[in-house]
Amino acid sequence: MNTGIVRRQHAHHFATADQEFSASKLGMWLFLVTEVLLFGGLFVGYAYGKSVYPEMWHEASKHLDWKLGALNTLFLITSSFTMVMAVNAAQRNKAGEMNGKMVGYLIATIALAGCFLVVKYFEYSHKFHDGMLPGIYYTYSGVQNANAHYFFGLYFLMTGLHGFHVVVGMILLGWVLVRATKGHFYSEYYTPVEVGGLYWHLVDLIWIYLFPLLYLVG
Amino acid sequence: MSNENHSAHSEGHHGHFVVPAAAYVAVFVALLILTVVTVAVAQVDLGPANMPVAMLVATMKASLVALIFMQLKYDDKLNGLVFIFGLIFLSLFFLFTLLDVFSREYIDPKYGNHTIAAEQLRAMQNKAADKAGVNTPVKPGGYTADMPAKDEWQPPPPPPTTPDAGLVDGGAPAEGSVPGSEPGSVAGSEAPAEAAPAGSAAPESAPR
Repeated sequence: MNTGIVRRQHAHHFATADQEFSASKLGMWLFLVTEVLLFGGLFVGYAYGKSVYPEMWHEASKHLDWKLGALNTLFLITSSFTMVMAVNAAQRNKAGEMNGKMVGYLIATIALAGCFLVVKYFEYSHKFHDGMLPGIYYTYSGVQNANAHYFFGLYFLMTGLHGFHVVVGMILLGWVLVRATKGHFYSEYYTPVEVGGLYWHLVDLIWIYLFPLLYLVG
Repeated sequence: MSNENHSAHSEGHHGHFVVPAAAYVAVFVALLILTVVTVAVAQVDLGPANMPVAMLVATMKASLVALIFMQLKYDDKLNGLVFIFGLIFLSLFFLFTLLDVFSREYIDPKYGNHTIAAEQLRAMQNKAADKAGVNTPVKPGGYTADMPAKDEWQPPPPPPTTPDAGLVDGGAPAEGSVPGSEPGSVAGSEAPAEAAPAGSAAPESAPR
């Protein structure tokens, strides 16, 4: 690992490095808004399903394991914390002395994301085994209520899209990690750490709503 | 522009505002506590308050993440504004979808009875009536397990097609008349006279 830093000149179409930084951040926020609206469609589908089939919803959600959901919440919240600590280390990194800390926090973030996916894998394989699948693939007989395939369809869509974002986040942060080991990020340039962090926090933000909606109140 | 922005909240050229790590630790602990709260509250059945309480706790957590971890509190206000606008449009999405779900039977009292929401409501009323030992007057639609089988469900009656029942005002206009023309206009004043022989019950409804 590089113990020094590699200085960076801002791109020629920006007047200053600060302008480049704030433009990147604004671009990320605009993207995050489209993400919120993408997930928003599924949340509206949730609100519709729960309003129209309240009893089925309640019964079907009992078949999700809230303990696994809570464990995953723990993983994601902790990973959000290690992510801000990585950004914090980058902000304090004057001459490479914080490189090690930054890399450590990034590795922790990616590892926690991996833990999340492992738990998700066990949840999914259990549901695949029991036939709690969306639409016409639904074969589970444990829920008395008809239409339970609607709930499990939304469950897979919401957690699946979220899980896909977790995978993308791991790839993104993996790239940030590789560059961090090369000493590319320091107090005057850490834009990828910052906007990668923003993306990661949004993944956490969405899970903060998914967890109670799917596992707890149902 | 960005230079001015920056000198307002930082010293030096590149000094972005650095949040003390202790603040992050405090937020992390708060998020853990709120997670325990939301799980603990869910073990108690609060009835209709379940959802609002869970959403309140989730929104507190989300606000902490957005304001501190995502630094909206310390950031250029533009980023926060962009995010807020996204949330406003999301709430419009929710508002109009749910308005539709919950208000169909009020808008169309006759055919609104056959919406899923109305069937649900009737099923709940029938269930309550059964518990009270009252004979249920209306057959429910069969959307949930505690209702009768689906083959008992009768499709809604077709909308009236005979001219005497449904088409009272100008329903059978003359072929030459302009649709939607006012009674006072030239084309409209001729239309009722031509339309009258067309329908059998027309003499009764023609004055309207």
